[in-house]
Amino acid sequence: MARNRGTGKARRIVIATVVAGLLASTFWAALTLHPTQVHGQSPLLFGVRPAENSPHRADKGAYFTFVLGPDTGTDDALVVSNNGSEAISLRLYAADGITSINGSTAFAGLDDIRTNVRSWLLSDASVLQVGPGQAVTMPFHVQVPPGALPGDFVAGWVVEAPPKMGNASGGVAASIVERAGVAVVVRVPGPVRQQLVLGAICLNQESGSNYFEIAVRNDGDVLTPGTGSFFLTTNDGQEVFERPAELGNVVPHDDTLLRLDAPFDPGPGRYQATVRLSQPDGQRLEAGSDIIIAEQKVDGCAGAVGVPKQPARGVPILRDLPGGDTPWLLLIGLAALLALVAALRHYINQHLGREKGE
Amino acid sequence: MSRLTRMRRRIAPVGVVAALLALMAALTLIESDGAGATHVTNHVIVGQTNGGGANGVNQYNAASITITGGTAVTWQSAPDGRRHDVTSAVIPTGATAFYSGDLDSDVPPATFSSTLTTTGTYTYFCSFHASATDATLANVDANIAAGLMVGKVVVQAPAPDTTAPTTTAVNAVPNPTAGAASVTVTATVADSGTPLGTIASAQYRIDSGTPAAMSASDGTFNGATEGVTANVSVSSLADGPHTVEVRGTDNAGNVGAWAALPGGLSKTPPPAGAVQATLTVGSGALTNSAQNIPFGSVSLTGSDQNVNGAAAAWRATDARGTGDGWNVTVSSTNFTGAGTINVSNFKMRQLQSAIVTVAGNTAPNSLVLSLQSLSATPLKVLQATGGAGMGTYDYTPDFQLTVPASSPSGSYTANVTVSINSGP
Repeated sequence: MARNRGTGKARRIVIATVVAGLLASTFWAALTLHPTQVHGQSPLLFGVRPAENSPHRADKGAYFTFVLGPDTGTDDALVVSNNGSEAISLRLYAADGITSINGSTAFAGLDDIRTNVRSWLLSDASVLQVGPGQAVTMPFHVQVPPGALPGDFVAGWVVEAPPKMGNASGGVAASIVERAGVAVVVRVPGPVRQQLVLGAICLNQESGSNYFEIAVRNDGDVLTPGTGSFFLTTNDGQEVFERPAELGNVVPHDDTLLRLDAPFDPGPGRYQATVRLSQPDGQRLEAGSDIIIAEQKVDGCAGAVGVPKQPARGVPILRDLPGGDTPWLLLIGLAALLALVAALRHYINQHLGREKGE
Repeated sequence: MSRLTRMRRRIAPVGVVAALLALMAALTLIESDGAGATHVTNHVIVGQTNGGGANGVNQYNAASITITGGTAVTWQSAPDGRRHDVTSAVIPTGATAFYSGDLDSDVPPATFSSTLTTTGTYTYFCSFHASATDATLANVDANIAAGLMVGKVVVQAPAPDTTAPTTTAVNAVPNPTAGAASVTVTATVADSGTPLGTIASAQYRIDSGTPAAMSASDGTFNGATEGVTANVSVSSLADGPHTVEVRGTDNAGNVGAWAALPGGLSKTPPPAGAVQATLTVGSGALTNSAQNIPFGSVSLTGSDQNVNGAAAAWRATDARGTGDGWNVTVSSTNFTGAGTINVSNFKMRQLQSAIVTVAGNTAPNSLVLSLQSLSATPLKVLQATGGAGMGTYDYTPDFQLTVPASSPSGSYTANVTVSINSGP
């Protein structure tokens, strides 16, 4: 009986240990997949912006602009705020600046290394707990590497919430990842040039679409926008329509697309599409393509030239892992696994020993 | 009037005309000399310039030119009725080869331009009348002199920009301050000289104190001339006259001289009898809240099917109080699970009529008025330009997923990233 009480107690301990180990492992796995807490469906209202006293705020405070030479650095601070009604865990990370379709600075994902300008931004925190109505100020350092060439280098600070999982009852679901980003533009002084390059124009009319798409690349050294017009003419020169073409800033050495909704379907026929843009330095650019619209609508952009290049992806470094520079989450996970192994070993020994005893 | 004087008066205009003719002739010689001379031009005539026919010589004029990096060279067909082209032979390391296609004065376009940026020597030839061997670095000069249809462009590094920008039109409003807590300081900063740089930043200072940053009036420092502005607090200044100065820095790092506000800034108290009401408005955050995209159920029918997903209203709020502008982007991965549905089958649209101003000024603009494909590259869906989009706006995007007939049955999921961005 005493042995039975002892066996029962050991079994409860083993079960508790196994459950604890499994919970810890699950917690670790969840954090590894996304190091933020799961939340309800109440609206997330969080943002990131330069600190009020930041000496490097561009415009009226929208983002950061640093003028720094090679092998120099400086400090600044950003503010992460939670305007929602619930506390929230937000992932904060430096991201490479990329160009959104139609221009303007956007930000690559946490695991997406492009120019690696993000490695110029150094901060301690990777996960922030922000209470409702609270704001957290995060200091950071900008360090320009030796040998940096003159021009604009674009990165940003991004705060990201845990994903919202959609309902997959219909067989198809999308999980939503919400982010807010603030740009960090480092301008290395020196001679620079503006040089956008336009590629081919195509028309997408598949499945309800009706827009033109022009490949754009920035071969210059600085953020460069373009403004001008788009024309569609028939093959004999009759204008079908004209509309303004506004391309936001294109990140240096990046590719993107300029998309222009067609105001109506021109109908089957042969057309000439032309886009003319002017850079801020006055340089004018022009591109034209023959557009053939058949009776059956197809995606004419499917095989178009000018697909954005995919730079080689870098290897994540320690500070990209959950926990930042201190991999405490890894340690917790490792400890949980060790506890699980020890518990299983104890259980097997007890079980086998009882069988031998009986 | 003596006969000699009258003769001098007749001769003088003739002399001037002759001198001008001589000058024009000299310039013409400089342009037309094809025998190895180096020309300071970026315009090359292609083909027979001596009338064509049996006596015509196929050549480039001017065949050897020197330009500054970043300059566009234009080749223009001569009216000789012949086909020529411009084909690069030797280019500097890292440069891009060029080829004009046929250049025939009878068939537009009869010009070809290429912007050469990499320093070094480019050689080229007409593939109808010469060969790449004729245009090697070892042969090109001799063959230009011999009248072969080859050419050379030497690209020199641009001269450094050493000219600092100048500042004009410094202004402050209100001035006198008449009790105002702040004034708006504006100025115009312009670069000059060759090469012409762009303005990178501007600063102001009060009473020769610590310089502070100013903003570009159009939101971005990217032009050779920029209007600049700053909202300057004067609450800590003593009543009386103060100096206000502005200067600019160009992209080459040249710092301009301080330009002073004419007459200075006069800080004065509120008019007698005036009652001052003070309100301090703190800045908030730029936020965006996105909702799930519910897709209806779909059963395979043997044909491609469009499944619509109408999201509940998403909400963008700009409570920063700066009017700096912002944008919302959306990107997506492929749908994966039982198989893969390429993200190009996932489209979205944002009708302008589906953007509702909850509270604020000018609503942001939709840039996706018809269904556009999503991709891993963020698609700019909403844009609030400077001064617009201050407040709260609800917007309801439409989504459509085309499920190909060949899709294996089962569950599919994609990760959709919605970002609200603040940047240039």
